[in-house]
Amino acid sequence: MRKIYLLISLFGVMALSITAAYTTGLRFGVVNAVKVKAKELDIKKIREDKTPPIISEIYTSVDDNSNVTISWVTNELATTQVEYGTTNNYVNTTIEDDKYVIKHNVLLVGLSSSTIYHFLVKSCDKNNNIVSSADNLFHTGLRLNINMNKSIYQKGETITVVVELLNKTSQNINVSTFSFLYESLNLNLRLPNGIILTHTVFTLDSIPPEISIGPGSSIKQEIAITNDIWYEIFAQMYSQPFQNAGDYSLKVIYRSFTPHIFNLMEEKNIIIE
Amino acid sequence: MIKLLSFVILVTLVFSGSLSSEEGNKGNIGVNINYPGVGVKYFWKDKIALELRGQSVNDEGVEATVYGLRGYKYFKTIGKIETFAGLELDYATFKTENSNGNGYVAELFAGGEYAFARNLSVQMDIGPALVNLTDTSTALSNPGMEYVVNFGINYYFGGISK
Repeated sequence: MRKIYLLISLFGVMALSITAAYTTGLRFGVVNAVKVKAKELDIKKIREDKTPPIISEIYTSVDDNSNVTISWVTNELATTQVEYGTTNNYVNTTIEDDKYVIKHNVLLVGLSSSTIYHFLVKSCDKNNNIVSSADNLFHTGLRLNINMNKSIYQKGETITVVVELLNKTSQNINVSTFSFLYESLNLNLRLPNGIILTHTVFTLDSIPPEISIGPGSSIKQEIAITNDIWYEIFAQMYSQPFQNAGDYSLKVIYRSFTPHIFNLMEEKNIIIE
Repeated sequence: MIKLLSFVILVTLVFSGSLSSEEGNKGNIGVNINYPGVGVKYFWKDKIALELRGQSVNDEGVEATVYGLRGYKYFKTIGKIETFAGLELDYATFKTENSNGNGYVAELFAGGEYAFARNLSVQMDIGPALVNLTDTSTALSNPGMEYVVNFGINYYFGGISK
């Protein structure tokens, strides 16, 4: 009986200690002390951050209705906003999306067709460090398409991709030559763990010439990618067997240099079995 | 946590064959559940014990894990409670929304252990812990002191020597 009383007393003391730990700032277990310090460090990191986010990978994607998705990434969590207009006065501003993210996407609707727009993107980190990009352009009549005859491939199989730059307007559009012979096109393979491998297919030899795409017409280029290429890259970078099976995202980027700089990007999901 | 538990079980199985405490606690091995983790305690001498310990939490937007070693020195028995003091050294990793990194913890503690059955005891201790965490990307650190209460239930394979 005495033993039971002792036990109850001991558990009572422990229960009181637990209560004290939570109410007086005592930490229950070393790991909870670490948790508290980690939270403090999280706040300290935000407060001491005087560097604005770095913006990169600004791309546009135009759909059939002349709606445009503008995407970019920042090197830290930041808000999302776009200013745009037909001149670099940017008379339109989207409502700032105050969710803190790394990958930013803004859909612009109600745009005029066959029109060149100016835009800049803005992001603000948690310590109110704001950054704006330089002036960028998109053309609501110029569209990038990716066509593949299937979406499921076997390991080692060649993936044939037809990339098409389409003029949806009633006028000629002058752009840089649409060709894989230039560094303007990158193929990116996004691994299941989120790492993006960038592979430049060809190197830039000279400034690409300017060509004209007629109204309603397009220029096409066919490329072939073998899975083995990615295997080599992966093996070299990570020194481990490439898990070839999985879901991947094939990203095609078209960058026009003359007479305007356009950065168009489209993605397709593929499965390697 | 599952890995840690597997490790504890493995260590226990490896050493359980040598358990004996006919005279004193020397060589005795116990496993414990502490809040919030597990550990394996080994009596190196009758009044000196070492404990491998791991703890993990994932709440309030923080994932934290600590692995460490505790050294116990047992003193007088007051009533039915054995008093002890010791030092704990841990390696810690953490991840929050904006930060992730690692660090070290050193804790001095004192407390008591009460055996309520042949193989079972409860223990509690309290003490100051020096915690120093470093953010991996910025090398920003946040050293500071926290007071820690530890609570655990031990199971000794060789029984408890009184």
